[in-house]
Formats: sequence, C-alpha cells, structure tokens
Amino acid sequence: MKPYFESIDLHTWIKRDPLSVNFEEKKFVIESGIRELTKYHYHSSETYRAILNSIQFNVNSKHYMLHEFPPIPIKLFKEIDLLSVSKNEVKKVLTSSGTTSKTVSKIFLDANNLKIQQQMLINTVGSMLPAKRMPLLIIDSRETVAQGGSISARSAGIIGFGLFASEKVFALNNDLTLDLDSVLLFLEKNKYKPLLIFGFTYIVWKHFIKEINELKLDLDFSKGILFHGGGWKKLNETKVSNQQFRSEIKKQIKLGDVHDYYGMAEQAGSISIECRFGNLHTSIFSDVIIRDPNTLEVCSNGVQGLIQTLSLGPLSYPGHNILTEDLGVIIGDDNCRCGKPGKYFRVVGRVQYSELRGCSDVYAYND
Amino acid sequence: MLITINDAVDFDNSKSFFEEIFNAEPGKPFDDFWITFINDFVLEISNYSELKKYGDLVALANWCKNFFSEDYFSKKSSVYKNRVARGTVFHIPPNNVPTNLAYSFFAGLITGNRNLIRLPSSSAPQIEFIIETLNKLFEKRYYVARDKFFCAIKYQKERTITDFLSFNCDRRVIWGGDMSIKSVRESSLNPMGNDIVFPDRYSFSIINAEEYNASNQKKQLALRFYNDVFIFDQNACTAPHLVIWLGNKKTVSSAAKAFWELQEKVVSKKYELPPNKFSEKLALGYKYAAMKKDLRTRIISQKNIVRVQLGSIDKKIDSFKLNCGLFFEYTTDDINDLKKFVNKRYQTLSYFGFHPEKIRNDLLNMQLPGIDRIVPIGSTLDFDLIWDGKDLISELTRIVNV
Repeated sequence: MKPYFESIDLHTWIKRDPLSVNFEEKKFVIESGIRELTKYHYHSSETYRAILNSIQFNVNSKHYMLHEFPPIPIKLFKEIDLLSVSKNEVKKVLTSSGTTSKTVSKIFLDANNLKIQQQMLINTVGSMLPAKRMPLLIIDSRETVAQGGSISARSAGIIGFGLFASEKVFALNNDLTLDLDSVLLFLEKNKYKPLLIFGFTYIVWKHFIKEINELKLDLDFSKGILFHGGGWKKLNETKVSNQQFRSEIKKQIKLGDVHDYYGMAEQAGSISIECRFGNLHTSIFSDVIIRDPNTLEVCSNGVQGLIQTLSLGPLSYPGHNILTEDLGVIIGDDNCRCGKPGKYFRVVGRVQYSELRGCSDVYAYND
Repeated sequence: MLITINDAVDFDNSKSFFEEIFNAEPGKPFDDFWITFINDFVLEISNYSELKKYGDLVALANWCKNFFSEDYFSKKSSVYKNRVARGTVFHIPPNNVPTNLAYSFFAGLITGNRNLIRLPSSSAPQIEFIIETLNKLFEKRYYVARDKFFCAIKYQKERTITDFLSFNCDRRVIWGGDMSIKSVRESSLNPMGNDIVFPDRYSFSIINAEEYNASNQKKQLALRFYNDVFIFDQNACTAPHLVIWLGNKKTVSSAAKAFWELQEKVVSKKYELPPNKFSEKLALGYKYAAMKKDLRTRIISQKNIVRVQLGSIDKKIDSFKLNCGLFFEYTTDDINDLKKFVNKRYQTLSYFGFHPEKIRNDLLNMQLPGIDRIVPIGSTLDFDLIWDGKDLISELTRIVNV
C-alpha cells in the first residue's frame, strides 16, 4: 500500500479474519511493516529523521530484526510535535487522557489514518461480536464526545466502538450520574438481542457498577459483552483488582463476557483485547516486546518489564514503535488456552518513579 | 530546639518563644565560643555508628574541621572589621542536598546570628541526625545559655507561619530552586529585611583532552567526577550537565572514549539507576535532536550514562537538563567558545588539565555573564562561605561605619 508499504498490502491485511492468521505470516507482515514504516516516517517527518540520525540508525538496511528498530519513548509525544504530514493535512488531533501529568500527548491524524484506524478496530473487535451491528450502551455521557479538531482518547474510544452500533445510548448524564431511565429503556427495547457495552474502566466501576450497587438495582445484562479500557491506575488507587472488577460486574448486572483492552491514544485503532483467560492478545496489526527498564534489553517471556508496542496503524505520524511507561509480561508466544493465535501478555501496572529530590523543597509549596 | 507546628494552636503557643528569639541580643561575629561548639559537633558526627552510610555527613564533618581551622576566626575578624550580626536569620534549605541546612546554619551561627531553620518536608536520616545532634549539644550546660541561636521548625505548607517568620527575621536565606523562591517570596519581609537566594543554577565541566590522555590519574579522576555527580543523582546545582572537551577532534575522541568507559565502570559498581531513567534520558536526548535538527548530534547510550554529542552550542543548552547521568558534550579547540553559551544561570565550572588562575583570567577577559566558581573536578561539592557569587559573611552581618 503505497506510499507507506512495499512488501505488504495493508488493504488486504485489514480484511483478514484474525483467527486465520498464523504465527509466521504475522511475523513477516509486522516486521516488514515496521521496517517500511520506519523508512517512510524517516523521509516524511523532519523531527523523526533527526532522532534516527542522532542514533545513527540506517533506515535502508534490510537486516534489522523487529526488536532492533528503535522505539520512541512515549513521553516524547507530549513534548514535541511528531507528524509525517503537513499541518494542513491534519484532520484531527487526538490527545491522550493525562492521568498525572499536566501535559498530554498530541497525535496528528489525517483523513486516511482516521479511516485505517477505524478499519483496524472493526477487524479486531468485529471478529469477536455475534453481529456486525449491535445495540450499544456507552458508559459515559454524551458530553464526553466532543466535536471539533481535537478529541481526547476517551471520546475516540466511544467513537470507535460506535462503529459497531445499530443504536447508541449513553448510560450517564452530563454530570456522570446514572441515567437510569435510558438504561432501562435500552434493556427493555433490546430484550432479546445481544448487547454491546463500552466504557472506560474507572468510569464503568465508579459511575455504573457502584451506582447500581448503591441503588440496589436488578439489571440483567446477561446477553451483553463489555469492552472496557483506559487503564487501571485510577482503580489501583482504590485497590480494585481485575478479578474483583469482573466478579462485581457478574454480581451486579449478571454480565459474564467482559473484555479489558490495552490501547493508547498514540496507537489508536490497534488494541489488544483480553480473552476469557485474562490474557491480552495483540491484534494482527500490532506486536509487543518487553524490555528491562534499566538496560532496555529485550526480556524473555515470563519476565516483567517495560512494554514496547509496535503497530502498523500510525501512518500520518511516527507512532509505529513506542516504548511505553507500562510494565507488562509476555506469557507465551502462540498457545493461549483460549485458542486465539499469537503472542499473549498481561499488563502489570505503571512503572514506579522513585522520588528523586529536586532542587527545591517544592513539595511543601505546590499543591 | 526543635519546634513542631501541626495546627493553629501549636502556632499560637510557639509565638512567645519566637518573640524571645527575635528580641534577643545579637551575638558577636567570629565569637571564639563557637569554636568549641563546632569541634563538639564534629566529634558527635565521628562517633555516629551509621556514619559510613552517609558520605555527605563525612564531608560535613571534614568541612567543619578544615574550614574552621585554628586561626579562621581571628583571620576573618581582621578582614571583616566593625561588623555586627544582623539578628535573626530564617533559613529555608533545599530538598536535594540534605546536609545543606547544616552549612547554612553554621554560616548564620559564626556570624553571630540566631537561626531559624525550616526543615525540608522530606526527612532524610542525615537531617534527623544533624537536628538531634544540635539539640543535644544545645542542651549541654556549656551551651544552653545560647540555645536561642538554634531553632529548627517543622511545619507543613502553612503560609501564615512563613509570613510570620519572614516578617520578623532580619535575613531570609532561600536555597532554591526557582519555584521555592517564588513561593516563599509571597511572604513579605519587613522593610529592613532582605533575601539571600540561591536559585536554579547550571554547572558544567571542561577537560583538556591532551592533558587527559597524558595523565596517569585517569582512574582517580573518574572517581572524583562520580562524587561530583552521582552522590546527589546529578541534582545538586554544582553537578555538571555538560562536558566541554578542549582539543582537536582526534585527541578528544580518544580522551572521551577512555573517560566515559572508566566513568561507566565506576557508576556500574557504585550506583543504582532509578527505574525508567534510561528511557527518560533517551527521551530528552531525542527531544534535543528533534528540536535542534543538527546532523552532527549523536546520542551514545550505555546502561548508566547517556551522552548527547553536540554539533553546535548555544545559550539555551542549559534548558536540556536531566539527572542520574545524562551529559551533553561539546568539542572545541578554542576556549573563547564559552562566550557562545554561558549565560547567567551558570554557576560552577569544574575542570581537569588546566591551571586554575589561567582559566579564571581567560574567563574574566571574556566577561561572561555567568560562572561563580571554578574548581577542580571532584571539588564541586566543597562548600565555601563565598557561594553563588555571594559573600555570606558580608550578607549576614552589617557594618558599623564611622
């Protein structure tokens, strides 16, 4: 698919049934894809080119293996503009949901990249759904989905899952309280249909599940499939584990088909979804590598380290190879109990920063 | 004395004690009385069972011993004539160098001032030890009459307390960084008061490549550089973030290779890199490369040390600064290149392979806007009462003129 790729045809690949893809095939596609995207972005982005030049990386060499392509530390997307198109080709700027820092990542998407992202999501999630379009309950408020040139990762997620919706209902009011009427109407109207539910993890927990518990409601979502993502950090602060989350959902709304997904604004569209055994599976468009946080060397399976994500999705910006600040572990290469082919992994948490003393006694004076 | 203020009631109860301090008689600068006190303090440190763990406490003891030598007081009183202490000094020490509060305190003490020390919110064991020791000494019969000369105060984020202490002190010493200074300055001083501030500074090193190559002290230099940098995680204002190599390309190339290899060896043995530091350092290096877009930029990374080699240098290089072993490097054969980048913020220049007076003369001739100190590599942390371009003795005393 010119001009990004030479040896692979992304248009065809996007239509493949993920379950039909074998290990060797995927390896070839990802490796060639990353090699060619690295070269493409090198020639198209001045800033990316400057970075690769500084570490003397030869984009023309055909000998690099996947782990030898240099990842960009994710915080760089907060600090400089990384794009491979001119500013007036940018259709949307996606921003990350900043949990702690005051700055957010800026992801520059042109019309083509937006389209590809959608197609990737349809491929990845669609293969798990009983129907192409389903009634969708969004555990968030209508207000979250902003219009305009700049959107948050949270609204991008809602828009993304909206692609599978035959109808969309928002479960929360603008102040994030439960819109019980809408939820009940949704359930009543779609009584005999399989349901799709989507929300950010901590929103689902705090504003939906906990609320339902408080109000002692008896809701039946047994026909539903829930996708939730956005990270556990906020929940970690209230000490809720994945297991607790799942069992509470089962208890409160009788929903058993729950899938966490791991994704990020910097590689929107290529998400890794949790199978029923609690393992995350990369999509056919992405791969993960685990690196030792101290040496940045590749870790073997079973060893915890920094998650590096590689994706064929980022086309209008050089986000195809990222070193995140998340800690994870690869459980296996190709033999998950769930039957899905390919590498499977788990996210353990965020890397902990030790408290290094800055020059000032800032802790006393900043809130 | 250590006062802990947890709430408004504590604050109210402590006010009369503070009033006594504010209104007490000033002491005499360079009073011989304090010589015994300092010796006793040094003794206490030497007897500390955990001393081996704290290189900075060892350095503090050595400094007290050597700095306040036998004739220091008599020498200084003949230089600083007709001086009286200011009165009460309010010290706000930094977070990055825990023992710093001791240096600040002694500066205040030997100039005859009473000292209020706001304790940093992060409590390092060294600080606890120093405060306990000072308390202990001032309870002794010999020193108790002068116990108003030392008061450590522990309080959290309370503007009214800082206001009160600031307004009533005669000099306020703020050890930085810029954000602390800005914040503390929201509390007014009284019209006769003044601030002595130590804002964020930037430091660098310069190495004569030819001298380095010829030297048989390479291993020792590596250790000295390590001490300058890694004891405080490259967070001290005096720690170098930039290394200037003086020499031609070929000479520098072999010198730099040897220097960083040795440095990496020392660091690997003695230092534990905090988690995720490696990728943080790379990110800053990449940021520089991306913004500068100079084809000559080279990033060389090892496990503990990341180097960013510069193709050119300018006055903004000090804004690219990290810690725990990130160094920018620049090669030149002309020392006048310092004019291209040294700005106001530059504080300490540590060197190897130069004659100190020659370098100072070169620098003075260049009329650089920055650099307050020129010391050999390994000595950057040696404290002096002339610091950051300020004469602390002069600032903490007043002259009675006829």
